[in-house]
Amino acid sequence: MTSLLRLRGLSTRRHFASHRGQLWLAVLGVAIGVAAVVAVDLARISVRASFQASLDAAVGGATHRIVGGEAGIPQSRYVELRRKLGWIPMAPTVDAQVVGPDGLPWTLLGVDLLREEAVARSGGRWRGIDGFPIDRWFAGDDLVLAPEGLPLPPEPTLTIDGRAFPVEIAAAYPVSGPPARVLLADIGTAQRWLGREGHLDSVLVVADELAEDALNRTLGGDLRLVRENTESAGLSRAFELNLMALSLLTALVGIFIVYNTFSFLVLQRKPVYALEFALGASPGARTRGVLLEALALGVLGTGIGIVLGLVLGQVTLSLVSQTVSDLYYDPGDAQVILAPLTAIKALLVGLAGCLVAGWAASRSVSSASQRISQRVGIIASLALVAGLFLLVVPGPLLTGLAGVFATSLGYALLGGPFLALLSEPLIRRIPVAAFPFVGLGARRVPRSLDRTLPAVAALTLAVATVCGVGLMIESFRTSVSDWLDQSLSADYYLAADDGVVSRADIDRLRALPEVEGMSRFNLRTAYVGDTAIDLAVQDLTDEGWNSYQLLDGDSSVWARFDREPVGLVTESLARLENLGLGERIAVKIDDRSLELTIAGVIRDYRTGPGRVLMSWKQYSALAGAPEPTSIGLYLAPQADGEAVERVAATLLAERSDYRFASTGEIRARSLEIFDETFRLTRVMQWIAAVVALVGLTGALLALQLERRRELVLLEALGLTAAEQRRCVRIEAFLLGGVIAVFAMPLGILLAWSLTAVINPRAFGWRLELIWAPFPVVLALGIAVFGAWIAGLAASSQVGEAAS
Amino acid sequence: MSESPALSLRGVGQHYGQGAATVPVLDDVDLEVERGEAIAVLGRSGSGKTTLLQVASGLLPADQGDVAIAGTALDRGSAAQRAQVRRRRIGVVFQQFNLIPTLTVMENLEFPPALAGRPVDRRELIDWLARLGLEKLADRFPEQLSGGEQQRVAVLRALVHEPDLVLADEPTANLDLENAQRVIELLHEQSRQRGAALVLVTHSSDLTVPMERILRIENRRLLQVQ
Amino acid sequence: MMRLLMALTGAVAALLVACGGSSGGDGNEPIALLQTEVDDGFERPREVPDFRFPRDHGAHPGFQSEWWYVTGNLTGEGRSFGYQLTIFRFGLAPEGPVAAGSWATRQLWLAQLAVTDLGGDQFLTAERISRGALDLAGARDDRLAVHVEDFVIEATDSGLESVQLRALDRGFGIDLQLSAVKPIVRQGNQGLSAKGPTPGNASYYYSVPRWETTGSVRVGDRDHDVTGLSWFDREWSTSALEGNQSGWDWFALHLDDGTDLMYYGLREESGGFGPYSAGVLVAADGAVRKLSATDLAAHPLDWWESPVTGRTYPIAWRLEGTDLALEVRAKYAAQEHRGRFHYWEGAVDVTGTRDGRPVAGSGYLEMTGYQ
Repeated sequence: MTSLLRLRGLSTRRHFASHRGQLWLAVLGVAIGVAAVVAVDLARISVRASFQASLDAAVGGATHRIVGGEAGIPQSRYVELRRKLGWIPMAPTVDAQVVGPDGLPWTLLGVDLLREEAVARSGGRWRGIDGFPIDRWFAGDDLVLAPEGLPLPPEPTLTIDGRAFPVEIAAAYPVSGPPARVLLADIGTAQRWLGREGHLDSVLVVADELAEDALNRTLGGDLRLVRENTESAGLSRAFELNLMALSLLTALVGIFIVYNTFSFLVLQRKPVYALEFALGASPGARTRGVLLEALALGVLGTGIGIVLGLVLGQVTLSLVSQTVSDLYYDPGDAQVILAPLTAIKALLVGLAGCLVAGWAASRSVSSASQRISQRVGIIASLALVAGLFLLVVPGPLLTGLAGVFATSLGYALLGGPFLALLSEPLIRRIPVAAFPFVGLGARRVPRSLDRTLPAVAALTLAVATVCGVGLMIESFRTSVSDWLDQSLSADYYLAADDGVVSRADIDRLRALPEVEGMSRFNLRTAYVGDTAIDLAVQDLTDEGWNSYQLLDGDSSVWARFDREPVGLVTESLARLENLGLGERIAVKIDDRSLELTIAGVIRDYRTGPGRVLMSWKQYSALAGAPEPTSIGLYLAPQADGEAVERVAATLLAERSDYRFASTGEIRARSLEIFDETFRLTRVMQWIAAVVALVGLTGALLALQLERRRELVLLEALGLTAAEQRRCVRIEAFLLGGVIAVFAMPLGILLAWSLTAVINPRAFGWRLELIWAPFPVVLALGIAVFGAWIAGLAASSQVGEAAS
Repeated sequence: MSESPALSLRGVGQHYGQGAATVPVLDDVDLEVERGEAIAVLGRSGSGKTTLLQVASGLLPADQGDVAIAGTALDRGSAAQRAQVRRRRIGVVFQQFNLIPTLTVMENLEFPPALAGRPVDRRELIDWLARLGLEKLADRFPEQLSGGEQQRVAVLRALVHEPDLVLADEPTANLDLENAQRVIELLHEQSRQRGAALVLVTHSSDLTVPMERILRIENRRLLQVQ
Repeated sequence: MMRLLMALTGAVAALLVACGGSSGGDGNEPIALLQTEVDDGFERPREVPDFRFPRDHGAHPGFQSEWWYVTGNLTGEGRSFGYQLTIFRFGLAPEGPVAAGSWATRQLWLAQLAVTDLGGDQFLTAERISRGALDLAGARDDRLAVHVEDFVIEATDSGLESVQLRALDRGFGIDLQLSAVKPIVRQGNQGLSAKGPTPGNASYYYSVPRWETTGSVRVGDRDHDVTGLSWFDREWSTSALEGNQSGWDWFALHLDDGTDLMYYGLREESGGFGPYSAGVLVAADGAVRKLSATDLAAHPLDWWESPVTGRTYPIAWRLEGTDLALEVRAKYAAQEHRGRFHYWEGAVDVTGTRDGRPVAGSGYLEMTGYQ
């Protein structure tokens, strides 16, 4: 037994010594599978950390926010909360836009530094500052903390509500990344400057379920606990979710490649094993020997793979971290961290993958290959059916993700045998007599598909991912863009945070010749049942109405809108309250209740429970004329907006609660954030695709080694080496084509799963699936062109193999 | 060209390895085989029979001497030239693995003429198969044939593009006696009918078919036996 | 006793700069704050005080810092607990005008809660910090009533016969009623407790040595009904330690013969307790005997190394006096505070002899300045 093992070791060493290329190919296959997993995971984790840091700067670890009615939160209510629920981390805030000494708008954030620590907002960083005049700060002197890196005079003057306030910069608070124009002041000082003594704008809270319950029992009156869910937080969650799905798929690609590599290695030496068996070696001894090899190969490949993955991850990150820091308030450093979970995943794919592959391959030497492919077929079919079931049947997010995984696994694994079966009759129609090389290359395809099942599965998956994720991103982007159009139909917006936009200010803007139209909005909190919602009362221009996307209902609604008591509800509200067209809802506001008939459901990507829209006229008729809390301004065609902006600036200097923004800016910024956010996703797709193609190259190379005898025969029949290579390229090209076509339905299924199953389950909104040609063409191109390159690489070995 | 012998070897020498490890295999071999002529080359295992066929077919360039097929000299420096000659003028039958596994019997037969750039008449091929009682094999794949059937198809494949020369390297080694006899008979008969020279290499002396000449390789030289 | 020595200026800034659990690493060493220079303008304890109650149960903003400090041992339902509820006030600057507005203040307040759950082998701590404004934190002048947010020490009337402690954090807390069975003890020279030779390096200091305690301790979602004994310390000052003092060890022990012992040793860099170490022995009938540095010798017996901070604390001691021989042993080793300050404070068991008769008991031990 020992001597047999030694003999095998010897023979294995000699085998690899004479097939060094093959050995490296195997190690490389394992390494690449592992590297893909590490790189994708790494990027995912690191980017999440960066995102977290940037969100922390803005809202810290806050999960919720307590908000009040029109006048904000009476400060006595805050004191009550602290004296009752002191264990819940919270931070009181007042904020306003003020005009800085540079004439630019600044955000003034009034905070209690002692409480900033509780929510870990960037305001907490003051504690590291030397010489901070702590006594004067708390005594209410006119002090501010200014961000590092923005030059300000030591005693600047702030203009708040038209009054000048000379202040003193107590210290600079440190920022990493580009500083935002945010000044921090003590909350009492800020209240005094803003004339808002006794009231808070909001209280940030870090709450889990226990704290949430406690707060909900304690709050009351017009105080509400709302989930802290800024747009960017929502986006980052969506982004992370999609990356996670992608990382799962990449791991699957990696596993396929490891399996593919190893099973070839074993099958190739089948005759040797047969001989050993004949010489009296037990199958168990063979399996042990193979597992030993698998372990050695796995260790080597995994090691190289982890290093490769770290490098790859670093490169990927350097692509994205710059944009993260450009876009967000304070990203921190995107650091490459090899998390334990990533290491475990890498080991699982590399080592465990090799061992399982070795075991399976060793078993396949003795059992009929048909039985194995049958078994794989059964498992794949089961996975596919189970996955589809999970996707179709309503359930939580987790089952949705499991559905995506199982469907992809099953479909991709079915690829080999299914395609072989499907392509054979087609390929047999190519007359060998007329096209000997094309014919010969083509005829190899079905068998190759069957022989390289894992590589086929990997490429199928990668191509489907490129197509599916691409379609999802396009859909997402189009939806967001449409929604921005709908939400921002005017050219400029002026909003009053406290109270209303004054009559005089409206008249002043309306009088400008550049302003052609104006719409008024009144946004307030109301209740449908016990759900707090936003009630948006608005008189829109026709352009404004037309930009709304009706998910349910038709355009006749606009005619009824001003004449009947009807309302529009957002998709998330309709889903939450189970509301349909024609149903009546009671919207409770202050002490009255408005009975509205639902005339339409509109798309909305805001987070939170949702909103109800109704017409200004109808509201006036039912409850008296509302005051505008914000207005939209429509410019005349070809009008220059500069005059409007100048007037707005003077209004801002007088009213600190005014906020003014141009639609173009908001829109461009939003889409920019979107694109940059998804850039990493795009890079990931490429990693998956490249990995799959390297896998395919390996598989093709291995195929050439396997058909060595056929190559000798073809040489004897008079094929030159160049012609042999041509056959290999044709074969690869057709393989790629067949896989590309086969992968498309899976890609579309993936796109559908992500837009119609995963995103609704995660966020309550459905994305409209857009049939963008680019991702589809890109996926097809990657498969066909990539396969051709793989063929080129594999065929270069043919001359050697034949001799 | 018709006067040129189907195969001509002059002063061919061949060795394996290099430098001190050089092992001579063939030494100063001369051989001419005319069209329609059938010869057998005998010899022990390792005597150099297969090497002789590899040199004759151009699969190996001759180290010394000249090789010509139907008057066309094989170019020692160009594998492509030798392949071109091979695909038009030579048919080969190996001990086993003679057929392309991904092609059917019919397609295996269509392949050499297509390579040689000759028109293929499917009906003629079917007739030919039918005459030999092999027509039911036409649409089968090689792995669906018995060893004997495979070798008989291989014989046809070696002749289908009407070569000047058929080289057979122990084509019956893996067959039982009865099958071996049928294959050799088929090879002999079809080569003659199609006017090709046949060089049959074998280590068995139990040839059941009369050959024009029988040669033997001994001590790296080719000797006439009969 | 930590209260004793924390009376320093730098303490305030350092307290705020100290980053609770989040900075990990080295927590602040109270002793390091002690040698800081003090702002002028604060009062210092130089004269023998004329305590007036209930006024002196309230805050003394003329001094830089002060504390209300309760520790005790409790049992009930077959389970034993130690607890500590401490409220500190820090003056950022001597009193003076502040800006208009309800948030403006010169006072910061900190409360610390610790529960040692001996049945559950756990040491639980929580903190509250707040400004002394808006009723978020503060003390009353008409009776003992002091709070930082929802951590409260409060008497029902102007005396100390009925006092309530309420401090509930997430998953643990206390709700206790205390009643004094011995009168107030004035420490040092009638309440002026000198900590060093420099005039003004002293504190005003009084104690309630024995408070009978009932109520409940919450651990997890269970409330345990308990009874036991507590110790109450009140102290205010502006500066305290001398430069050569490296830390202190403070004992407050309740013996089963009715005697209560308090003793603090001020460790010097040269090793051993310095000459300003002191204490008090209160008999069952309330008779008070002062202890000076030479009246009691203390020797560490056992050491415990914190697996988190790596600091080593003597968690068992031998105390020896003329008529006293006690062995003090931690009920649970890991009672190390790792919040804004790193120190050890926890429940202890006592055995030994007093006047030749065997005694037993329990109490609290505080140790700072260990590395």
